[in-house]
Amino acid sequence: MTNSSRRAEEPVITAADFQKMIVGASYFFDGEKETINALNVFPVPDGDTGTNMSMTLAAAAEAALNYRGGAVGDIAVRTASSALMGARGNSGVILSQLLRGIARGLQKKKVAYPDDLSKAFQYGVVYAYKAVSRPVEGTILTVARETARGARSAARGGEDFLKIIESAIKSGREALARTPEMLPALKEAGVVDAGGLGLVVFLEGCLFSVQHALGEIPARKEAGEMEAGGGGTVDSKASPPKDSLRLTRPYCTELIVAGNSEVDRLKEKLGPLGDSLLVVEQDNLCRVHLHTADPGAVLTLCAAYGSLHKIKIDNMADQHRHISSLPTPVEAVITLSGSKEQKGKDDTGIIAVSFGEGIKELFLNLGADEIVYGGQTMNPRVEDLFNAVQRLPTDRVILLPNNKNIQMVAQQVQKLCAGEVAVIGSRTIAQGLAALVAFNPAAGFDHNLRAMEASLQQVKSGELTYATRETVIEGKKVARGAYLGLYDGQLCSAGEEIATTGLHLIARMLDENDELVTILYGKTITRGEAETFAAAVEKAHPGVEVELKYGGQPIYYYILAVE
Amino acid sequence: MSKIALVTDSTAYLTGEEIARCGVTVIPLTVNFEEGFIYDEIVDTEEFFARVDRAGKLPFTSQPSGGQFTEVYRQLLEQGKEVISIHVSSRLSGTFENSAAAASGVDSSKITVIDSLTTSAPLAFLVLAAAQWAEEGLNRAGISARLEQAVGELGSYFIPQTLEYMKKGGRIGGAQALLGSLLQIRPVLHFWKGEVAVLDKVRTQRKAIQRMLQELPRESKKLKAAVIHCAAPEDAAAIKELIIKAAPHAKVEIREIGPVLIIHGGPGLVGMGYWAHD
Repeated sequence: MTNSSRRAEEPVITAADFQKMIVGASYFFDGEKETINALNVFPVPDGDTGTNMSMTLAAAAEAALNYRGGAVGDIAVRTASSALMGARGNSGVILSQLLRGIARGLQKKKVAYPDDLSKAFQYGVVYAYKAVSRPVEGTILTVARETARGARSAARGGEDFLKIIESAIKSGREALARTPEMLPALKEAGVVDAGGLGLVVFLEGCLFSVQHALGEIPARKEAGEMEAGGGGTVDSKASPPKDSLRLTRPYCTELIVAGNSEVDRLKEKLGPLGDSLLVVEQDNLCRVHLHTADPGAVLTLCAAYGSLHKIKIDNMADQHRHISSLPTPVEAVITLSGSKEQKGKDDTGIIAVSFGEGIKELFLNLGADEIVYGGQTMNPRVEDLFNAVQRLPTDRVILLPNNKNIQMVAQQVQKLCAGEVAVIGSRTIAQGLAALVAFNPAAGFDHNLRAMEASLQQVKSGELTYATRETVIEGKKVARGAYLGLYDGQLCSAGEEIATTGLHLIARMLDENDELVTILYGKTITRGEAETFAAAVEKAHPGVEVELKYGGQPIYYYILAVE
Repeated sequence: MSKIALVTDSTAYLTGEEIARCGVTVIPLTVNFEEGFIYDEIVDTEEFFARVDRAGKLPFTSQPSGGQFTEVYRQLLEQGKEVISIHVSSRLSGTFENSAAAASGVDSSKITVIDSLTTSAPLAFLVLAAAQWAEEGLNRAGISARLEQAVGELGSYFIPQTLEYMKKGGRIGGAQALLGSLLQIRPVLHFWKGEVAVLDKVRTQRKAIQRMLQELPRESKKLKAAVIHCAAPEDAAAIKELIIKAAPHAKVEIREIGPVLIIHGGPGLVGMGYWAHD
């Protein structure tokens, strides 16, 4: 911030300034996101705060970039609503709410004066706190509040807007440094709050971009490194802005082939026609999903194997067009439609967030209408869930986020939607499945919500994953890469072998009232390994029934449900 | 001797003693294998399912013909009786329809046909109560009115171990959505307006039983209950104890079900029937 700015003496922020700030901050942030990702409290793979905030900002930047008008209030409003739709993870939602508050502070203004900026920060804090049902200090919220305080004191002192942002950053940094004192988990892990750092980096990006020409920003990422001080070291491999996605196989083709008994052969024949091939058979119905350049050939081929139903062909370029300016590659968001009877307006639709081929099938089979791809480390956007709600013909929709880091995104969708949308507090796949089992299409909406919420308490969730860094569990040191067992989100077992760690975890989960252990094995586990593990569980606990299913999930070797 | 004669069908699964004591005429449904049929009465379940397995496909059930009803009604009327004929839910079987048609063919001024909207133990409750009311001297209209009211006071719940048989038999109704579940699901089914519907779904047998017992109107002053089962006497005895614990004043019995119902419910089915009136 030593650069003296050519704009320092200008008293106002124009729409062009705002555009430059948001777009520049998005690129700037992208260079810092790995630093933020590295601030992981839990030694397990989970939702990456840096990535989530970066993608949220990319959505904001896209709207800013496309803005052609001349009013700062207008661009702020558009930026905020795009940020909301693109928000991923809890931190992304909070960031989008800060932008929304800022937009509220600037709305209807052609240009913003220093005082307006300070007020906009205050609004931002109010909106951010409102988005969180139980605000916790020592998080991004604390940092947001302090940045606003810093901005206000500079504005009262009659400073210009560069000084206001600088002051906000300074107060934010100080608050960030105090977060480990407020949250013991941060202190134990020896880190500051990731979302809080993300907010500071965002503001630094805003400042950096008003001090530099827009074209300079991606090239000047190294400058960000030097200034990232308190957040730890910075990954130097910043990626250049990405070209538009070129899709060689743009047609996402989905259909059901009925009466087919030669699945393997069909699969083999479809292989050369595209990628991301999924062929799932059940009850003589075969669901096909494929990205192809030639959907006609796919249909012709499938027609030779049975009658065709529920044909759905989407040009993925349409889906991707709006994200083509993103600085970060994005995992494709796939939604699958359920195979059940078409629902009507008066029915209740169900959308589940899940990952893993097998788990998706389980959710669809138990009555989910749409699956939004996502989960641990892959948090869907508000827009993904919003679109899924829009696609359902039902007025009432139940969302199953199945992850704690998707809860807030789902709650934002609830606020955005016109019909009755309810979010179930499912924090794990096991809870999501339990909730869906409790759903009764013949029962009323409220009755189902109660039954589904109650079911969450009746299942214990277990997950078997690996340590992303060295850690200590119950006084014992655990090496990086060791297997870790989580019971209802808490670390409870660790070991060098999957099976023994898993058995230990299950032994901790079970009590004398439990009857059933459901095991979903992940995509890196073979059927044989899973069967051996299931047999070991049965042997160790002769009183309980064990049900083994293919989950196909990444990250978790096993997902367990005990009830 | 009462002027009232009672008729029911085999799905009440009355015991021989009850039939004799109440003078009920039981018209049997039949279970038809390719090589012949059997009458619907309590059988050795193991033997029965062994036969089903040998047959390779599920036998089908037949309702009694209108002719059978006509003959029984004629005989009873000739003896100077009036008839109350109480039957399995019209939404589940054509038995009621055939009996109603036969009744209007014979003499509808002397025969009342009652649709129980259920079957098994709760149907038995109706027949036994009607016999007692007749004994007490109530006339046909009085008994019929009481029966119509009682139909609304019955509860019928059951937990099949498998939905396979219900699926094959096409009698799954509202439980359709449960078919082909990849995960083990224990549905708790009940009779709702005469049809089989899903009350709830859980993952384990114990939870299913707990869920079913929640439906017991334990506050009801006069509560008659029956545990229904197919080849699950131990489970049935355990459920009986649970009912007694929940409602110590209830009269609880255990009743088995026979071929017509078990080929839909499958072996291992348990259930609960009650009649609650204050």
